[in-house]
Amino acid sequence: MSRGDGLGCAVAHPFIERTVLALWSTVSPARLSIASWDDDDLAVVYDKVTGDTHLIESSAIEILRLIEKSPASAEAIAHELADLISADDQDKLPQFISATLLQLRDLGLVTDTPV
Amino acid sequence: MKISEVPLAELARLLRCGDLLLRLTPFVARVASDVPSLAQDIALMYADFDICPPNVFADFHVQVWRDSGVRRWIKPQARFSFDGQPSFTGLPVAQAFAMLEWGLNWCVAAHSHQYLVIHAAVIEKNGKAVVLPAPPGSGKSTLCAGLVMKGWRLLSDELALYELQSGLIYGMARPISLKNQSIDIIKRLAPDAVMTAPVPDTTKGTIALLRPSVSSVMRVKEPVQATWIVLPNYVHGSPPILAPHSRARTFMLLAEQSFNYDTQGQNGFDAVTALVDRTQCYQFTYSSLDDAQRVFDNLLQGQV
Repeated sequence: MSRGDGLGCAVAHPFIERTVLALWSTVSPARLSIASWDDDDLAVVYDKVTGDTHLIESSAIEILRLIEKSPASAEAIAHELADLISADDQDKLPQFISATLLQLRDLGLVTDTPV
Repeated sequence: MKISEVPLAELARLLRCGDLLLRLTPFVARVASDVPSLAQDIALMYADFDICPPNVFADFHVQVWRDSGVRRWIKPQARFSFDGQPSFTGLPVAQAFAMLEWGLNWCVAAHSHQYLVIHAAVIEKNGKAVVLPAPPGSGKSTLCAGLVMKGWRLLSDELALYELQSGLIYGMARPISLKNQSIDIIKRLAPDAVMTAPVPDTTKGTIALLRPSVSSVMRVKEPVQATWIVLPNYVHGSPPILAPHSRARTFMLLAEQSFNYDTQGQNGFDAVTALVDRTQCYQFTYSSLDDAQRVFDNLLQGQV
């Protein structure tokens, strides 16, 4: 996952449509180990099933930890994370969450169930 | 008994008979060879290492034999064998010692899963240790040799043995492999440094091995806890820049530079996480060993 995945674009994105109608969850909480550091905006995730280690944005960890507790829609995730985002970036949050979820899904770390 | 206490003729006999048991703490390697120059190179590079009695358990049984037949006389070649099985392509006899070193590296990297084996140099001074993990070409060995020549203890130039449970790092204090221009750079920096004769035309260019200091070999059983992880980055003409480096990126580099990270599974992930947790991570861009010495001394004195 590249660093360019952050809150950099204000334009509405087709990703959003593909993610809002789904319930997102981690593949299995017991399957993933996460290491993150307060002084780093990147983190690593280890997948015990595939044996792969992934370098991801630490902001994606927030999403992983959120849906690790219980599956959530992109909208619900945005609502939960809104407090962590500055007022200026609020309008970019849905797109960021959608893009991040799709990338986490490509890495095999999360799954989506249609609702 | 130390290698330096064994007459050269006896060392050659032990090699021919396969009775040379070289203590490469924490391992023992049984070395056999019929290459005459190998005894000289071993005597020169491993002078301060112990040899063990023939009945001691050997972790690795390695052989460097000259090819038989016509190849014994025309462009003679030598081959490295592990447990009697030829393991690599033959190389010119002149490269026999380098082949032994590379072969021993492979033995350790491929079989020592009680450790996370990281491709990294490790040095220590005043109880504080630096791990220098890096891909080839980053200037790791040159930097390591330059600092060791100026008083840092050598644990490892190639293979850091990271004990998963304790987080302690062992090295074998084996010779440092210098390549191409690095050979003359270290000769100028430390005219008294003991090196093998440069061997040209290897797969890595011209190489020479540098003998570790007596004190490094004497302290080979002392592991270290890493204080810093520094990623060397040689850039011609660059001023010295020691910049904080992302812990997550450092993690990924350590994993990539480990020979058995995948084999270790969850334990490997936890071990690298713990290593990155407890250290400060930097990238060091440099072009001069004088600069490097100054920067690392500042690091040691907490002036960074």
